[in-house]
Amino acid sequence: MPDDGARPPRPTTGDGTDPPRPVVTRDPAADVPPDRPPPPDADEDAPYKRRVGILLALLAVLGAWIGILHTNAATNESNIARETTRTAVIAQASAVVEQTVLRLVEQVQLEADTLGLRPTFTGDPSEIPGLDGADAQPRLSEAQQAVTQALRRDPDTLHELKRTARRRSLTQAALTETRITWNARASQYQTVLTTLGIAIFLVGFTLVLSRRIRPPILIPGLALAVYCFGWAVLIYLKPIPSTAPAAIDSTAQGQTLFDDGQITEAITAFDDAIAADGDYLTPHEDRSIAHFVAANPDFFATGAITDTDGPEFAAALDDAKEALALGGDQSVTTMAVSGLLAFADGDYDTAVRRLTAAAGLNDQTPGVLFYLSAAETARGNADAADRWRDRAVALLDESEPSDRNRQLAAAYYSALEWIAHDVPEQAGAAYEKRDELIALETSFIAGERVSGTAPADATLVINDIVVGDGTVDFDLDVDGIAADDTVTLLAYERPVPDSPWVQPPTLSYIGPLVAPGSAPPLRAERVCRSTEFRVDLYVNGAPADSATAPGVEPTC
Amino acid sequence: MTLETQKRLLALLLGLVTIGAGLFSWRAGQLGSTAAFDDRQSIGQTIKQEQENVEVTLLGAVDAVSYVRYLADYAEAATLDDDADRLGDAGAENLADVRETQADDLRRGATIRAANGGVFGARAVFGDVLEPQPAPRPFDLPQHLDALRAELSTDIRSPGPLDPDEWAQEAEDIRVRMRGLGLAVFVMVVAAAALTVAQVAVRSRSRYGFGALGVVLALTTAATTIATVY
Repeated sequence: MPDDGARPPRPTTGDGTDPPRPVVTRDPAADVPPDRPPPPDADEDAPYKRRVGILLALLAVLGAWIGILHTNAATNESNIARETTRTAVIAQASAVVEQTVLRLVEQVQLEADTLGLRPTFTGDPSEIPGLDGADAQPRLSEAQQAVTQALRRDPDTLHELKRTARRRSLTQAALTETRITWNARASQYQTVLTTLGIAIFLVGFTLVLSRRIRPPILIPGLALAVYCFGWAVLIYLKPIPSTAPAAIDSTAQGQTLFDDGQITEAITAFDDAIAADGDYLTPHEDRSIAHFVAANPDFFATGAITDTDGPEFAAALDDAKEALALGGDQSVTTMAVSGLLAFADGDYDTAVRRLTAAAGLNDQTPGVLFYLSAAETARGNADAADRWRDRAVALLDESEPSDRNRQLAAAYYSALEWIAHDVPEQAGAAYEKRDELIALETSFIAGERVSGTAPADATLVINDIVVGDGTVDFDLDVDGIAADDTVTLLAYERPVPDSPWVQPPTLSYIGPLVAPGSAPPLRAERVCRSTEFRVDLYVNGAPADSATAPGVEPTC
Repeated sequence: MTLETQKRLLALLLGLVTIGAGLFSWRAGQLGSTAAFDDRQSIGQTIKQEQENVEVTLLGAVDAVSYVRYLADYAEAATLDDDADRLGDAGAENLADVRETQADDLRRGATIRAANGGVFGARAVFGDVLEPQPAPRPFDLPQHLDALRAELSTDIRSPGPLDPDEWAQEAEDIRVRMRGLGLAVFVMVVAAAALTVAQVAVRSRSRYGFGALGVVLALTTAATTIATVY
């Protein structure tokens, strides 16, 4: 082989292919001398990575714990959602049954009451010889008794029916509160879990970062994890609202007794409810109304407020305050009742604040809006008073004259009389608003806009007022009225000496005069006997005459 | 056992524990679906049950009022009978007959109306329509309500006896099991954390300690869960 510096030819096998290459094995120890230290990062990171590994494991445990809390909240919410729905169905059914049965019982009573109108029982003696009309009377009584007893009508059973309906309705409301809380709690845990996920990411992310930039990521991650832990503990420690069944039962009992007019017994039942569960809002709210009615027994019948100084009224104020403290500021009833109490207490600023809040929670309550209008009148805010009154009028049922409209209008007139008495400097404004609404009410019932002009010679005379046991009857004469004039008669009464006038809803007549000269009789049922009466005559919506008459010794 | 083998074993255990936790979570989810189904059944049956209650109560109440009208007619007929007796005694036979006929007609009309209205069974009063009973038939409201309820429950379209409370109880029991499974998942995660600590531990005592803790927790939890709430 010549040594000419040229590359020697590659050895080949006999068939011309390359021979296999020799396998070279290397000793790893030969690459890294034994005295050479491992890379500095690897040694220094190992403990850090161990710590982060443990930390991540602990964060996973924390996450699992929050997950359990979330699952518990969600399952509780599911259970209570089911019970809430079932109770709502049952409550609704109970209410339907209660209302229908009560109406049917009224029908039975009416059947018994009207038996006497059947010709057989009137027994005209002139029709058939040998018969005496008086003979029919014992038979009539017997028949009425048989009809009334036909269903073995038991007041306790009816009371129980009402109480059951109320209890179910209250239970449903209480369950709804609990359900909402569990639902909110499950959502909160979900948020904590999501936040914890971010914390775990931040901590884990530091494993791939150089040491220098780890702290700005690690520290927020750890802080977030600690925050999540604290947040979860805080959520866990918050109480779940629940209402003792005994409290619900006593409240239902109280509401039923209140409806039956047994105010003292109702207050006792509300006392029991509050003793069973002091944080239950409803009995505080209801007891406040009950105390108010105990002090002012004719309030719902005639709108009369006769006692704002006694212990019952003070108790009503205390209960309203307690109801507000228990979250009643989210309840239309609590805000409306506490606003009414402030109104009766002469604190018109507070009344306006609370009634405005009630209207804010539900702006479809004309009763609240009328009281707001009256309270604004007391404060001298005529524009605001007009605005609230117009909003209330817009909510009235315009399809036909109704008892509800009459009651609302009567309550407004009584409230304005209250203002005229309590804030004399605003009396003019109060009477102006009263007359405006009377013209409107007259037009509404007459079915056309009245002229607003009264005959100059229209007069009113009170012939007689008969104050009975729980009733009052008026006998009136009017004169100077044309047949096509629309007459409005509104009777007022003064429940106690020097008190404001009140306008009971039933003491009114709006329409044409049926018999010239004679006004239709007015009659109202009430608890209290009044000390003085007044009747206002309006013709075609305009004031025409007014007359007063003495009453009797007041009983309220 | 070498360090390498120990670490491989720990990794295997970690994987098993994680799979166990996943299995329990899956089972909890599956049970949740069953609980939701039971909830739906309970609510559906409650609605049906209340509809039946309302239907029976209102029918019963309306029948009760109809019975009062029936009773009032009978009372009036009794008055006419009295009149007839007096007229007969006074010698006014024709008028007495008129009164008696009026009384019979009143009773017959009341009976037909009550029977057709469902106060009494039509078969029960069949004879009365031809010859009305002189005294009114009795009416027992609770008994009548029972009869109406029985009629409804034997109707071909009736869903049969309903027990929404049982479905509700079943849903609650299932959710108790779900909570148990959730707790098991939590303990399994704790076991996994212990095994992780063992995996990264430098000292052999820590490795053995945490490893044993993880294994004991995982085994106990798995056995208890499968035996009770799975």
